[in-house]
Amino acid sequence: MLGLIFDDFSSFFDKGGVVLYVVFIVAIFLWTLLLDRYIYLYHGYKKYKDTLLANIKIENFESRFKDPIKEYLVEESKQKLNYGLSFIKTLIIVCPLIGLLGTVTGMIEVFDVMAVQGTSDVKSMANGVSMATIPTMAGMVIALSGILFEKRLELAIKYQIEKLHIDISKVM
Amino acid sequence: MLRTFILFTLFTGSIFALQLNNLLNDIKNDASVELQQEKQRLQEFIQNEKEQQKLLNEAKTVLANENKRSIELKKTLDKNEELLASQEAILLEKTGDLGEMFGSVRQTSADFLTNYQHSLTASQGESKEALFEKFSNSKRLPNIEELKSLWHGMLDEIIKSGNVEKYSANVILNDGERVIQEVTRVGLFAAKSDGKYFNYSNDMKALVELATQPEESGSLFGSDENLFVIDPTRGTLFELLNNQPTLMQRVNQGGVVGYIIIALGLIGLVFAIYKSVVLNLYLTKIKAQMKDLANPKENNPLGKVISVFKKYKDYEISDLELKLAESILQETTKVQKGQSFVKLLSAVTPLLGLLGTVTGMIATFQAITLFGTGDPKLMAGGISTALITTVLGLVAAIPLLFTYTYISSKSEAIVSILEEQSMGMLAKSIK
Repeated sequence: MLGLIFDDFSSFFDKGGVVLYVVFIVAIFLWTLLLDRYIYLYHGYKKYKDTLLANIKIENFESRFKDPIKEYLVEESKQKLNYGLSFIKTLIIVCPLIGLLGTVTGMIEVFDVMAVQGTSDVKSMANGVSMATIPTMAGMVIALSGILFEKRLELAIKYQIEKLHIDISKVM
Repeated sequence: MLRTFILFTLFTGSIFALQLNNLLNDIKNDASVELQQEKQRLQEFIQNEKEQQKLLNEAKTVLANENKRSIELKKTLDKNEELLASQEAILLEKTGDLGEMFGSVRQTSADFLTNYQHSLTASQGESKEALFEKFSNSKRLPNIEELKSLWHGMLDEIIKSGNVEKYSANVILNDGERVIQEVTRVGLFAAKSDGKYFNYSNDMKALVELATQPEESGSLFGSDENLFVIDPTRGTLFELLNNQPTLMQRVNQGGVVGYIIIALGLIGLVFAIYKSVVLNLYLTKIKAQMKDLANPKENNPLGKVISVFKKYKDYEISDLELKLAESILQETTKVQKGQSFVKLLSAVTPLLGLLGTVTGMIATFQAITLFGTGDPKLMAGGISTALITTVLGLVAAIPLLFTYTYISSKSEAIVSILEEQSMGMLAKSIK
């Protein structure tokens, strides 16, 4: 059963050509980064926030500087939350572009075959056509699934920041 | 007067009379001569008539003889024709199935000839082309000796096609020089000399060096010395190797638009690398400064802001913020400078690729209007040209997009430290 799946997997990559590997690498990057961000949001960040609030309770700030200090603290945690998010966004933008690259290289393959053999043998062109369509599809799938989770992450971060704002104000 | 006139007419009249007299005498003389000649001719004619009669008789006897002979000859012709027909019938009877065999001999030798003309074995000195040509073109029936020579020739070819042989052959090198070299031939699949591979050309009656040499990659049996690339299609794959464009040829297919894209991509990349190095230097200096807020240094943006803060820290908070905002604005413009240039390039290169695609398609459709859709090879060239620019545009845009993200996230970090964090950070450090 497992062998069958892996067999299908390798034949899938054979059909997709080099560009599919690039899409695969980008997808791995994207998903590890997204996973890392989710884990941080629900685990690492909680700890960080607790120690931050505890520290603020102890400190006694000069009253006229309270506002800028609050802003500084929120901004710092916002940077921590948003770390790598722009890279994730870029990866999502790049996915369809790489897919398009696959389309074009696949079409070049098709036309190379045509230039040598003419249009008589459609089977020999099929290789190039699958090289053109599979990476495009893969790129689209990765980008769409990525964009779904990325938007959700962004919303969660926004909510956390608003909440932090209120929490710090309460403590200060 | 009248007298002289009469005298004159009399005188001239006597002269005329004299002349006419002479003319009459002449005519009389001539007539007698002609009469004599006429007589003579008549006599000759009578004599000739006899001779003619004799000739006529002779001719008549000849004609009679010839008629007789003609009848005899016709009889023999009829006889011979009968004989011929009977002999042909005998021949046909005797040939029997062999007639079919001679047809197949002709066909086989014609097939073998076309194969032989393109095979590497033809380069091996003694040419069998004449032998096969003789059978494929002749209308005559071959005798048993000739049939045997064809059989032996074909057997020899089959044996040679299974051999690895070394021999000296005519070779045409890539620079057009025709030399005689020691060649190693592996069956019908490859010929190699001095590490170069060759194809046989029937037109030149020599081995021709391949313009694009096949790669010898890896060794199957451990030693690289006897490595041989074999073309199982007997030279077709080696020929296709020439049609395979190299990376440089591919790039050249992109044309002017392709070069513009490459130039823009390189400019953008070099600029982005320079910019990211500069921003990283800024960031490390700012990080160092953040650990040591008490001693502002002038070599980084944060230090400058700190010195402004220290100068005005006893002012009202609104005035202090104003002063800080002024110095921060100066620094942020410095940090963000040139960022949008990289973004612009990353957006423009795919568009340029699209432009190349469209111009390529225009060229393709021009080819179609000129030559019709009959030859897909004509169109394929233009289309691959069109696609190359798209590839180039995407290949340029993707790294530019990544570097732009890197630059913008770095500069965002710096700007956020300067704009949002500096005030709080400094205020925190005061008490």
